[in-house]
Amino acid sequence: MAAYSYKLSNILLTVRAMLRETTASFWSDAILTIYINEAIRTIAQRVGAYRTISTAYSTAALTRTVAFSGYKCLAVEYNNKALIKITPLQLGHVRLDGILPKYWFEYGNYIGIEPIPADIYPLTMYLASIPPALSGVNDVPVIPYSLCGLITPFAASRALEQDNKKDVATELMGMFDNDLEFLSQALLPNIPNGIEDVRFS
Amino acid sequence: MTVTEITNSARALLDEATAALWTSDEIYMWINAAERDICAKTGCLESIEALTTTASQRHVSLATLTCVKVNSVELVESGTSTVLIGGEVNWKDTTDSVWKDTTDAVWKDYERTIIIPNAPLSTLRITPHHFGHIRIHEETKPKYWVQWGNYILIEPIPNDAYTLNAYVSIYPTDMMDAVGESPQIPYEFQEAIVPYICMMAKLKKRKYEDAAAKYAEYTILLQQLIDTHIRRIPSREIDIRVPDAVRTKR
Repeated sequence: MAAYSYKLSNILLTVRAMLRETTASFWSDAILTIYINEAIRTIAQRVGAYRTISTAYSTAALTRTVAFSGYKCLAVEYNNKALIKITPLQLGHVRLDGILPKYWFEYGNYIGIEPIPADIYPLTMYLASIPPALSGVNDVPVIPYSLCGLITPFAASRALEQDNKKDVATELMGMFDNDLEFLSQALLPNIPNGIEDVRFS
Repeated sequence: MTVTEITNSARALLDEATAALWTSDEIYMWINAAERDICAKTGCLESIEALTTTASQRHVSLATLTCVKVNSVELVESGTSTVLIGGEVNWKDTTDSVWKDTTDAVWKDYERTIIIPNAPLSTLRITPHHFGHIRIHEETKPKYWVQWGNYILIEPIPNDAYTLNAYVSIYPTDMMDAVGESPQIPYEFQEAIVPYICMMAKLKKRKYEDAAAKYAEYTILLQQLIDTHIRRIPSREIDIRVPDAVRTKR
């Protein structure tokens, strides 16, 4: 038998099992789907779980900013070299060695480039992106497979809150929070290796 | 452990020998969910997968793998070397056993050689912020990597197709749906399945304090399993040296 698929119909099944409502009565599928999509967005937003790579172009009109779509831009690369992250306070105070992009900062849904680009440069952006919502019963979340198991307690918690079962809802949300921390600490950080990791000492 | 054994253990703890509140389908669903959850939290289902880089492209897709996490990456150097074993030159007679009887049938030497593959090299993990900032001495083979979503990104950008071995943690590729089947996760991790099932069953029964207690038991057990079986600590020189007290004893 194949691997389990976290398609919407299967997630609804697990949420309904937890709610003891196998066929829709108090909670419609549409309502539960809203909670499921909220869970997916929460997971992606809180730990930057949906990571994508996007190319954007600076404009030649001496504009410092380049727009991006996502929760957060985590790194920017130009010409195979990572730009160095600064803050807007440092603009004009960092050492430049030409007109090509060398530094960047995030501001709102834009990244700012230092020095101000004088031409059209392709920039590779490493993003924590916003996941698309599920609508069809066969749709599958784009967040990592290993985090999809957390959708069920979150959606069930929201559903029980709607039913005024506050204590239970809080209990389930506590489980969701703990598990998200447990999983994201193990799976997501990129901690670089040091030379001591490969040396026999 | 088989699905039957796991189900029997769970049903014993839940004090429901035959299905009433908790159907067999639900128990099976939770057994599979437990296996996935244990894989995700511990990375216990390990595999080595071959990947190939594309020339002039930084990223290598992991889409074909059932990958939870990339733990390490190794560059596989293609080709082999032939090495002559020192001191192993043998003299062998020709079939007539007459020493140098003719010019074309003399004793001849055999040099025993072995063929060894070129040594693979473990590459180091970095972050995207390091691209272009590490001195690579005009190297074009993959030397550093970082996992980014469903990709690994390579530094320096490879100039050719190279083979990489990715040491990955994967999630289960087969669901259990028959009573005789067993989980794919290693045996030592299977003991965490029953507390997970009990937790889910108690949630369904709305015994929330019991569920919370089972959840705590399950989480602590996973942490112990990670500490015992997943964390890899290499030996140091000091660990393999015979202690002075032993060496000097006569």
